[in-house]
Amino acid sequence: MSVITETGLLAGRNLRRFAKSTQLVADSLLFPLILLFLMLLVFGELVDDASGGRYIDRLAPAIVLFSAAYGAVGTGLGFFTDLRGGIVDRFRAMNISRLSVLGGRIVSDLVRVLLVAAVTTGVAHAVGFRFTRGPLAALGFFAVVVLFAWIFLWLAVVVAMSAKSEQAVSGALSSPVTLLLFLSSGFVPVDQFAAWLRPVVRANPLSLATDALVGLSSGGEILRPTLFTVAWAVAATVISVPLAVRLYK
Amino acid sequence: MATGTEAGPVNLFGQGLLLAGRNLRLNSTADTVSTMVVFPIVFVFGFLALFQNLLKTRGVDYAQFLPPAIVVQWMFSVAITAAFFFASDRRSGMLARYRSLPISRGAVVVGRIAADAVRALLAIAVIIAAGYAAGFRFQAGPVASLGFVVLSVGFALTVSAGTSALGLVSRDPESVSSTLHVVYLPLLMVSSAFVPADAFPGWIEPFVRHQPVSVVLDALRALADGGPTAGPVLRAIAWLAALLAVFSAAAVQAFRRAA
Repeated sequence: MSVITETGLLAGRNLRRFAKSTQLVADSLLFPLILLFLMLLVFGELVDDASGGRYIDRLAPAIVLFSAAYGAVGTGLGFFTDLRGGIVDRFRAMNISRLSVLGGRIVSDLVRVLLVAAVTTGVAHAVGFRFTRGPLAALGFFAVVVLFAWIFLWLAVVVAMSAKSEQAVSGALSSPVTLLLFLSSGFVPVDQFAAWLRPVVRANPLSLATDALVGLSSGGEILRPTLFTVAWAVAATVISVPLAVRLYK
Repeated sequence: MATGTEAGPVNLFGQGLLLAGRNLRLNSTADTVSTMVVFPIVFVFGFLALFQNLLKTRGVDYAQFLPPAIVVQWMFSVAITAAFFFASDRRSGMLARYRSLPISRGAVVVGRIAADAVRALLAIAVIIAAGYAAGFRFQAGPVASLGFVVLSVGFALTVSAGTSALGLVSRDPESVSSTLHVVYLPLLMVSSAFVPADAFPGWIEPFVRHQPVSVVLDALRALADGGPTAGPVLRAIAWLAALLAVFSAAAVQAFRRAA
């Protein structure tokens, strides 16, 4: 079997396990929607007044990205359970490429992220979110989501292999994700931050990817934020992928 | 060691505190530090970074406004943890094991309440310290400050009675805790926790003003900021008393069935 077939098979296994857990499906699909409606309700008026724009145009992309980043905690926990449960050892004993186990995990979680993104943007349509830039830009939107998720999925895999307990996995992943969330321009415009924080907020991949997604959906700058998101993804690839492969071996 | 099944206060509290110690040790130190120290601090400063300037335009001093909200958020989190551990104790058979031991059954309840109170106090101390660093001040004297702490812990224990009832009828800690998150998040966010009630759309404002989380927050803010406290505090106590009556009846019922 080729690596690609094996990766596909293992990704299928992960996705079937995900689909079987009503709890997981409900959590990962419902939570972003609850957050979307709550943020809109609580901060919609304030941000609309302060920025003169429509909050939903920014909020929907930000929630999509936040759930992708937060989904990495699930990736980390899932992979940790596989490692401890012995199934990974069993895969090692089989006549398959070692890389396809890692690949299967990443591919299945990217599919899950795309599913959540599609559902979230679909529901956000009901409260005014629109793709106004044509089908190609809409495709670009989901491509940027994948790129962004890629950064966190590899981080999650690395953490899962280095951590000693489930709690350590979720702790090591959810703290940085929460920090990124607070220090991003996803939920309030960058000029609302204290001046000394603005450079951090601007450089945050969550801010950059949100800018790119806003550009690709309701309109705005596309090229610069997309290129910076690509740069983040490349940097993460250069660091995390070799590290993950080494740890795995 | 205090053993014996009689319901006297010595057994109840001696054994209860022993079990409280066990409950507190269930969380590893690293985990306690992360959920009860690091995360509250990140939330205080994170919300300030996000919304301080936005609310300044509305005339709200956010450093003074926010810490009570984060306190209430963590009181919810203490209560959800209680449900999580009751459900895991039931699943693992620990509750059944307690019943076979020569200890008073009330001690299991005392052990839970004492452990929750300790976690609540720790969270309050951390959040208020972070708040002080950001500019929050108790402006109504020591008695009112003490009232703030007592009311916060009272809120945690009241909610904890309700969540424990749920935890005790379940054997699945993960699903109890994720169900409770879905319930608590809207209750907290659609209250005057993070923005004043008048920043909400008009149709939902009456709900925001009168729901219990806002009522408790109004009392906490009155106790922290000064000004008239009797009205808000009495309203909060009335809500908590009513909720406690319902929740503890449910919890006792669930406990009898589970253990």
